[in-house]
Amino acid sequence: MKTFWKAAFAIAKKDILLELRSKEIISSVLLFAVLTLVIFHFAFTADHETMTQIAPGMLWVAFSFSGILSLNRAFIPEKEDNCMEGLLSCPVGREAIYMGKCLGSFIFMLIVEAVVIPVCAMLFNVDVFNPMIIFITLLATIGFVSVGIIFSALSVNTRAREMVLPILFLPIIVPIIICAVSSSSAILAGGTFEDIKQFLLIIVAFDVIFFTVPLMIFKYVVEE
Amino acid sequence: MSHVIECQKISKRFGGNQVLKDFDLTVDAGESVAILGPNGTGKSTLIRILASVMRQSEGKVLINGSEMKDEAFALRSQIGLLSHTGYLYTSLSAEENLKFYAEMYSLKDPEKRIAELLEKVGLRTRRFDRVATFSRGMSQRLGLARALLHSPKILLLDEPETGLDQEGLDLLWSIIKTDDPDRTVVFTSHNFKSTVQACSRLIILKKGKIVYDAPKGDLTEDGLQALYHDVTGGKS
Amino acid sequence: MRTKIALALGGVLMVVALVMVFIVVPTEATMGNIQRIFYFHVPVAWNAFFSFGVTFGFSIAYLKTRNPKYDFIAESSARIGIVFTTLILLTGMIWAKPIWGVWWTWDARLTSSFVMWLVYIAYFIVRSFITEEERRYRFGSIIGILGFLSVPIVAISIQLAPTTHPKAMIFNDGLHGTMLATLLISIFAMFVVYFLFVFLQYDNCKDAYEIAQLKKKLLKESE
Repeated sequence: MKTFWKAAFAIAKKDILLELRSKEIISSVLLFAVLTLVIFHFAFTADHETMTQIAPGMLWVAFSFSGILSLNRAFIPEKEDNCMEGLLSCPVGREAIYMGKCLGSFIFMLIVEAVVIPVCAMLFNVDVFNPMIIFITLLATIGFVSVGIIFSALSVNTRAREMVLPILFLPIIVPIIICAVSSSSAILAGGTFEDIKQFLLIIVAFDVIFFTVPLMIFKYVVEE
Repeated sequence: MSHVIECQKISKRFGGNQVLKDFDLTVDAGESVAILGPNGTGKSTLIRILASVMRQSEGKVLINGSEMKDEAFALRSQIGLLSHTGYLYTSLSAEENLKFYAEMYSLKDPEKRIAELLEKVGLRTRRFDRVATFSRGMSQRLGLARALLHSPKILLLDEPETGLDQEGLDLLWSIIKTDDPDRTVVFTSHNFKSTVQACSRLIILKKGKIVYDAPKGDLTEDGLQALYHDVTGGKS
Repeated sequence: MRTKIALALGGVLMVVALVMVFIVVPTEATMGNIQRIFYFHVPVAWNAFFSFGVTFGFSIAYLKTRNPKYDFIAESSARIGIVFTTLILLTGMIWAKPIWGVWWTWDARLTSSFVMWLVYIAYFIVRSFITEEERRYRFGSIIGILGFLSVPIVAISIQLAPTTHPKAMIFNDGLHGTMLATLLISIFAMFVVYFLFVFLQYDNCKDAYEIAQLKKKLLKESE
């Protein structure tokens, strides 16, 4: 157990260090996410009330698209110089590798969200920078990333990998998007925890299923 | 007394492609086994199965008498692997690469071992430089340092000479020999000269089967070349 | 042989089912004749779910054993599943137009069938992107497993929104005796048709695989 977490943290730390070196992905992903919001503004110029209704949806479109962009890159460092094989030869479980990659991408998504949510709140003058919405977003990001990582590991080994990830990833995360958007909208409309409990339960169920199962089958993705 | 490496009837299929079939091999402590053979004959597959980065379709791999399948964790820490790539992150420095792998291997005193190895592979002065700036020989030496980091009892090398000149390759072998002369080494190669220098036992594969297996004896480079062409039917 | 049995049995059952649907069963009072599509829509829906379940099961079996035959079954079943899902969507739309007045609404069941359809279309597209056989089987199995798990959770999450889809009536005996009999016969007929298609498709996969093997062997020998 101790080696599991040690290896997972080492991998996550390594991924963050790699990103800090180039800062290529984070800067382009952030720019892309903000651009999505800008495009939304031109696509739907609406009054404040309508904006409040569609703001959670905008957020999750921005998260999904920028998430795909960054998840597509998640396994590129392991592909270069065949590092994945080096990781596989280490005395750690494949589960730890999956966990480590998830942690790295989770932190990455948190950074994106930490920028996009306040920017959205400012640009559209809606109260999305709100503790309940942040909580919902955090909870939903767990399932979002854990599905994304296994498909990212898979797509990096196919032809046309940039296309493979979104067509697999988007339909599967539909429940996350539905629940996160519906519950955030309910909060913006003045709802309480009671009103969104059901949505949160589904998000938790999704997180549990789509973290455990990929954790179990990740070895079949990376090991021939 | 159990063998260091023992393969019992291992087979490997990729879809409908049978690469290895009922393959048996035993390697004893301190041996340095060279595996030669034409391309696509299962050399790399064998090394990968021994390193447990790939799973055999059938059969057993035993390391020091314990079965790989049951104790992959413990056994992997006794094995070092270097392939034609060094498994290095090119945006990280030499030292950062080794530090990362030291964490993966849960090394006790990583700083000391890393410093010692960087000295040995002649990269101490370049330790803060990114691997991307390294020459082929340097990154292959760093890859070797990575493979030796946890002082494995078994070293597996898959065509380590790829992209190296003879001088670079000689340097690689001298590092392997000086780090621990008693280490068991299994390597694949296309280079007759360094094979003759490095191995104590010679195996030639053809279509996933052992067609020649004998101690090296006093075989010379030319002798090996003649033998190889004779056994494999001229193709290399 | 099994193909011929399935063909004969499926043929007879289909004729019986058609007779039941169009002649025997009484016309439903409120919806009229269009309701008869229900005897097609429901069996197809059940069998679509069943086919993806088979894909799920054989995907696990493939990963455990690495026997290509299991992947052939998984793939064949998913292929039929897509045909069935397409039929669910089409028959649903044909029914919805006169009853609801629109071809499509983002209703819970419609949407979840649609998402299921998208998942398995992706399953085949991704498979076609992988040239190496072993990897295609392996990755296909992984998508077959994760895709199937997503189906119920999509359905539940959309269910939270109010739905206009008719509730399943079989279990709360809202269904007339002949209607229930007709439905059950239709389901069984469709079930046999499913097996017929899977057998055909499986033989197809296996033949293609064997031809590829022979080609490889010939190429090796001619070297």
